[in-house]
Amino acid sequence: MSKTFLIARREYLAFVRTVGFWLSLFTLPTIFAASIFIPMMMRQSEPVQTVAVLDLSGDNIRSDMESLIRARAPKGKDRGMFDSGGLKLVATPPELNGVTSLAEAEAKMPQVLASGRADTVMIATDNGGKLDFRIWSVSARKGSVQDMLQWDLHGLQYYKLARMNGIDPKLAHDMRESRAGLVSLTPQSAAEPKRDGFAEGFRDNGGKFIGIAFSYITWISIFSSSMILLGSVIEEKSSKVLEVLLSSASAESILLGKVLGVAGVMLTVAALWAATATTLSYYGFSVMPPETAKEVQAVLTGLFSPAHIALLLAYFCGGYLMFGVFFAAVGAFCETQKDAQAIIGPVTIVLMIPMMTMQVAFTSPDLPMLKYMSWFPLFTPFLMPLRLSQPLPWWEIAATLAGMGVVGLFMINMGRRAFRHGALSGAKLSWGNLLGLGKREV
Amino acid sequence: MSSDAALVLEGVSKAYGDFHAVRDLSFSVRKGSICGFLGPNGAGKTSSVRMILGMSAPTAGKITVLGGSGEKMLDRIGFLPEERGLYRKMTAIDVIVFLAGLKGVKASVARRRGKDMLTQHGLGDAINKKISALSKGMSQKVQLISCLVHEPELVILDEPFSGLDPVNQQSLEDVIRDIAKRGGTVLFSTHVMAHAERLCQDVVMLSKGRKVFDGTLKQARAAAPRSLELEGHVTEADVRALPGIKHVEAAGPGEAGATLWHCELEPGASPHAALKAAFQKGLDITRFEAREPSLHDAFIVLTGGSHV
Repeated sequence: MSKTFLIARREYLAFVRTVGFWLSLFTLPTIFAASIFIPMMMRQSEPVQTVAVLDLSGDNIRSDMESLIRARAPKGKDRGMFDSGGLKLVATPPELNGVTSLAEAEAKMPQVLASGRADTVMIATDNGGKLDFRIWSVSARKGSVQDMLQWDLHGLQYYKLARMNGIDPKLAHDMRESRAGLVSLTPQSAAEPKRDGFAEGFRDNGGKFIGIAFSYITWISIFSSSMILLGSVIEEKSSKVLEVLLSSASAESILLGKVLGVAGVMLTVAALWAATATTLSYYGFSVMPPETAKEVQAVLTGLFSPAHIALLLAYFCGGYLMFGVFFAAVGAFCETQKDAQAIIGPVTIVLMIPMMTMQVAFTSPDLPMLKYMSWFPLFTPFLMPLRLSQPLPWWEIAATLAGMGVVGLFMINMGRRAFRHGALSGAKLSWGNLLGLGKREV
Repeated sequence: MSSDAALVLEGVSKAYGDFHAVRDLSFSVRKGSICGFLGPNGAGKTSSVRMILGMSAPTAGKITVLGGSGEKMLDRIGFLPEERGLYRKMTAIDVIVFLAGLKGVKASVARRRGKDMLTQHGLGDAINKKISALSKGMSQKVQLISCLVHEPELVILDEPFSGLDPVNQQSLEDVIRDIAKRGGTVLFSTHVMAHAERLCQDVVMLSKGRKVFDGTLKQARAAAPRSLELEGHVTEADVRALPGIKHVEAAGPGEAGATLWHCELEPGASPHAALKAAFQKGLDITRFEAREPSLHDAFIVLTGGSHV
């Protein structure tokens, strides 16, 4: 077993054997899953709302109002993931029988709602030729019926106005339902078979979503793994273990072993998160309409071609190598995290720059500024996953990979010197110290 | 280069910018010997040890370890650094197995040897305890075992006695003698001469980065002058007039109003000749003692009075 592998294995086990690692490992997927499932479960547990109507408008729209409520009846076993509990039409409470004015009706509302015969009472009145709907609810339900029915209630006013102006009800209905045809196309989407709405949208924007997601994941992974490396080296430096290691293995072996060990930790994290994402996806597919699920799966398969995955991995590895080695080398100079701040602070700010472009990059991934920034090797690993959602010339991919490779090799060479120098000396960390390493052998 | 040398340094220098930590250092260590690498703090001992271990590159010169050089040689060397360090969250046996693994020892072998050695050193109950749960003395023993578990041919100990209580110092001296008995070579740096005096056959002395002595313990002692202590009712002038006396100083009051004089002899001078002359002159000498030089005396002379 090589020394590098032994160091990598120790590094890996030192992390994965801690309770904190597993807690933090499960935190993100748990929060992610919770943010999806908890609202869903809450929606699913929402009770059916009972609604009564009282038509004081004089337009005889009671049956129209009742139809609107019946159209929102509970769906039973066909209830969707995000469907609310639905509405149930109930008889007008007897307290309101014979009521002829709004004031009289509203005076009785507290008593009516307190009786529990209806959660909501919808009162229609005429206000000088305009329908007014006053929707009384128990406090826990305030606004929910309005949210569900407002567009339809506005429709009742629309038809009333049409009637008042002698417009044929059928024509009025057709006018209200009429829409212009709007289609966004690309040569690619036009060439592909028509999909249903969600799948179509996913096909058009899924690449960008996935690109931006990978950019964030790459950033988070590289930054967190680099910080793990930094902390690990600082711990070994402060506990004087580094010198013991250097008496048994070369600085290169130690550095590479640590980098590989932490990469293993990140792979474990990635594997678990990927498993969680896959499970969630399968659950998502199971609750989607079968045709949509099939379409989305087809789009995903297209997006995750082996070449695409290989490139995403290559950019991640390049970025990890550049920043991981640098952070490890910085750690070799430091006894505490505080010592490292003078160097890590500015580097973190540089790392933040590509993330500041994400919002604009999502809507316009072909911006020239974004392209030029992605050619800068320190930004390449974070911006190229996003740009890969668009067709790119092969030379640009090759050039960015080569640029990252050159900087990576430079970092390894500098990191090796810095690591050995920092591990053996009590020199204070400074940019001068780091940059001066290029001129001399340790 | 001698074929029975475990370690050979030829014209080795190390400079950090304008600062020369080691200058033109040459010496060799015989296989199976215990060699003291002596010098005051800042003499260049640790820099030399790091070059021997390949941790840092010499600015000039050549180092041959066990007949070769390079990373492969590290597997045949045991090293105890001056500043001890172990993974605090690992158990004693896991640390030993890990460090032995870096020296090319199979985990099963390292585990068996490690347990045996821990038990031998009275740490049988600490085998599966985390380093953070051990006392400082126990941790130092674990570190020593880690340095020896792969049965190295050359053992380099950098200030091994620092921080040890007298019992553990004695125990470490025994360990060092055992290594030599089984044919291993030991190079240990120290600035405490008493340990070197009890353990070493050979010594190399450094001062300000330069070698000031390289030879046997006996040769080192010979470099320092012998001395004579005289007590009696005599003046400084009486003592100074005796043959072979180089330097005289009062060492304190003697008994019954006498004075105790410490006399440093000329190189090669005999204390007997001085005593004989004193009695011939009829000086009132009540007590005398001829003292052989210690390694400490030799060190003071050879390093030009550098503080130890």
